Parts: sequence; C-alpha cells; structure tokens
Amino acid sequence: MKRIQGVAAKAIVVALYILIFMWASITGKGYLFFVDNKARDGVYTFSIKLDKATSVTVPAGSVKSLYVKGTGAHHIIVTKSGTTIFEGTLNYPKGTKAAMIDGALIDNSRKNDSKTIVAQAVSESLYSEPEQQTSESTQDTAAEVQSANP
Amino acid sequence: MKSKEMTGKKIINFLSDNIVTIVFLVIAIIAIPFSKLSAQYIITNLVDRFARSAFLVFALILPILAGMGINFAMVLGATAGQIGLIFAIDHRIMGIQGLIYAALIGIPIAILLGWFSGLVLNKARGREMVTGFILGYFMDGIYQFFGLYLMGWIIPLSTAAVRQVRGYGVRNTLGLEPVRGALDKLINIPIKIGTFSLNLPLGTFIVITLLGLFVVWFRKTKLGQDMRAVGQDQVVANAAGINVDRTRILAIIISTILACLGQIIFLQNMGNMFTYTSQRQAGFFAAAAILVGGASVTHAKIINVIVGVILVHLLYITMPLAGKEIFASAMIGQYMSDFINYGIISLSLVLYAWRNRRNAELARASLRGAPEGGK
Repeated sequence: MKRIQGVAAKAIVVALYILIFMWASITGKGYLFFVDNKARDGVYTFSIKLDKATSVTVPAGSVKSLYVKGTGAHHIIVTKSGTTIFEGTLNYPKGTKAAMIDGALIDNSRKNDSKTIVAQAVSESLYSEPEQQTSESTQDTAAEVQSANP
Repeated sequence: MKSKEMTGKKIINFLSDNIVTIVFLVIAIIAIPFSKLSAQYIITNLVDRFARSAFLVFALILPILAGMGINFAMVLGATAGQIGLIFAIDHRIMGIQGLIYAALIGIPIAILLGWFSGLVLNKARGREMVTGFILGYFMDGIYQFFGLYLMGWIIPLSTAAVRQVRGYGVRNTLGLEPVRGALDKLINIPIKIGTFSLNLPLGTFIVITLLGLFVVWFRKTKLGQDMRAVGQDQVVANAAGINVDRTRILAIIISTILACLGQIIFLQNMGNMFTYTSQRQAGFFAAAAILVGGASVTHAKIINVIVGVILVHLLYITMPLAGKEIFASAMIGQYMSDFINYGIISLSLVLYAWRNRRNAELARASLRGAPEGGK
C-alpha cells in the first residue's frame, strides 16, 4: 500500500511538472517587436507603452527592440514629451517571429484618425548587431563588470 | 570579583564569536559619511540588492547544518539556473512564465549536479570546502564546452540573439529582456513618506520570506534533525541509525536547487547575463555574505543571511564613493570592498581553525584539571 502511495505521489509530481511547464511555454510565449525611429521627415523622440507594461523610449534616429506576449491585438500608447499622441490597438501578425513598426506608421495612423497600427513581419536579425568582441575580451569585461556590481 | 571575571569572559566570547560582523559594521559605518550618499539612495539600493541576492545566500544554510561547511559547489546550481534561463530566452518565454520555465529546466539539472557533487564530497570527507571549490571549476569547463560548442550544434538554438555569429554556441553576453524584473515587478509597491520614495519588490520579498519559513520548517522535520545530528557528529549519527552519506547528499542537492533558483532571481534583477562568468561570482558572494552575517562554517541561522546580505551590499554601495573621497579614485574603493570580502572569508576560516584549537586546549585543560590550560 505504501509503495503504491509513493508511486502515486511521484506520478502526481511529474504530471504537475509537465502541466506547469506546458502552461508556462504556451502562455508566456513572447515575440520580438522592433520600433524603428530612424530618419524621416520631422523625426522626433517618442515613448511606447504596450499592454500597460513599462514604457520604452525610442530616441530619434534609433531602433528599440522589445517583446510582446502573444500575437494578435495589443493595447498601445505612444507618448511624446509625456503627452499621449496615439492610443489604440497594435496588430501583431501571426506566423512570424519578429515584427516592426516605424515612426511613419504611427504618423499615418494619427493622420488617418485610425485606432489600429498593423505591424509588419520582418526577419528577427533585421536590426540585430553581430557580436564583435572576441570570447576572451568579452569574458574579461564581463568578469570586471560582474565583480563591480554583484 | 568572580562576576567581573565572568562578565569579562562573556565580552571576550561575544567579540570572538562576532568579530567578523563587528569589523564589517565598523568599516561600513566609517564608509557611509565618506561616501556622502543620501539615506534615500542607500536604502533604495539596499532594498533592491537585498531582493536580488538574499535567496542565493539561503542556499548555504543546509550544508552548514549538515557539517559540510560553506558549499562552494553551489556554483553548480547557479550554472543549472543559467542553463534554464538560456533556454527560456531562446524559446522566448516572457515574464514570470519565463522564470518558471527556466526553473523547471534548471531544477532537474541542479538535482543531477547536486547528487554528483554530494557523491564527490562524501568521498572527500573533511575537505568538503576545497573540494566544492574545485568542483566549481570542473563544472565551469563542462559548462563552457556545453555552451560554446554543443548548444546550437547538437542542441538547437532558434533565436539569433542567443546564438553566436559563427552559427553555434551561446553569446558571451545575453540580454534577459523577456524576463527582466519579472519577479520584482510582479507585485511592486511604491512607498512614499514625505520626500522619501521607494519601490518595494514585494513579490521577491514574499518568495524570500517563504524560503525562510521553509528553512525554519525543514529544520524541525526528521530530515532536518538528521542533518543536525550528522553535522554535530557523524559517528554518533551513524550509530543512531541515520544514513549519513544519504543525508549529506540530500543537503547538497537541496542547496544546489536553491542556488539554481537564487541565480535565476539574481539574474532577472540584473537584466543581463554574462553567460560564462556570472555563475562564478555566486559562490564567493554568498560565502562572504553569510560569514559577514555572523555564521561560521559550522553554524548558520536565517538572521546571519539577512545581516550579511545587508552589510556586504552596504559596503558595495558606499565603498566606491568613499574610496573616491579618501584615495581620489573610485576604483580603489571598489578594489577595497573586493579585498575586504575575500579577506572576510579568510578571516572566518582562520578563526574557525583557531576556535577549534582553543576548544581542544580548553577540553584538555579541563581533563587535567589544571588552571594554566585555559590560558
């Protein structure tokens, strides 16, 4: 009897482990999202807040990457110098690993009085910078930084 | 006359038992005014840093309880946590789910490594600390081989930001954006009293409190009592029917799992990971913190963890600026806090050996019945 109880307890633990693992991998799936604020007419610094999370400031002439949980509709707020200039829905395309919006897309939606911005599917390596440092030099720097800030 | 002598002895015993904490406290008290930092800055930094590293230091309590000293092999657990995080980032699991995902991948690896570590430490009885230390280096080599060559080659890596440019191997520095602050921001309470403001990462503090309660509960269980008995005398524990080897292995396995979870909490707070070096710091920092908090290689309590983490971080916050004021170089302050931390580990080990010798001499003197033995 005790042996059966032991086996049952272990089976419950394994089942729970698998269930939690599946829940985390399904509900936590994130997608890469680029915000391109490179040169265009009247470029300005703006901030983006997705799904009421922490806002990300995208300085004029730069690209910022962030992650969104799940594809489809997301709540988006764009602010300029603390003032909301756009609030609506961001549509993240399905079946892609990365998507982007740029300043022009935001400006167009504002001009057209649209409440939706549709992100464009892009390659995830579109804006990524290759690692330049050698293994040793990076590790030395890493060790220094880590010991300076444990 | 006798009561005066007794009081004197009590003071000497108190000082010798808490010398490390006292020395650290004095250095911190001297450093604070020199650093010219505001109370607001020091407290907010302390709260953030306490949430970051307290869990990691808790991992050392159980091996000390089981008489295995400071578990420098906790680096193995930290490595397991990092492997979990690499997979979470590669599979792009965000937020608290990302941390849970990393923990679920890290825990089985930590159990396996802890079991291996426990087996080795049982073979090296009496030399656990130095063996654990070398095990950390051994694991470092295996981890680098795993991370630099096997990942992306045999074990698939799907995210370009994780993979090295050459096509295989994990990058030296990994941004943890998807899980950055996931636990800290889970329940974040802003506190404002007058001009003083603070963001309290309540989620992390709840997890740390739960761990503290677990340690308190665990000490009262049969296994906890067995660990205590093994820590006091292995021969007596064995004679009492306790499986000493198994108990010691279990202590190391639990410590390794806690180190795995502690490293995940540490790194989510930092927000980035130095793939091949972050884990190395875990053992040293935790050892320094628990010793500074007043623990020894044979005794450790929860209060030692709390006091130690606060004091070590207080020194890390204030020393660079105090060093800048005193020596006109912030780096000297930084070097000094490193030097003091490592010095504290050495001092604790020397004091432990000295206390053992003193106790043996006192025991011999009491057997002889001669007063000169107690000099």
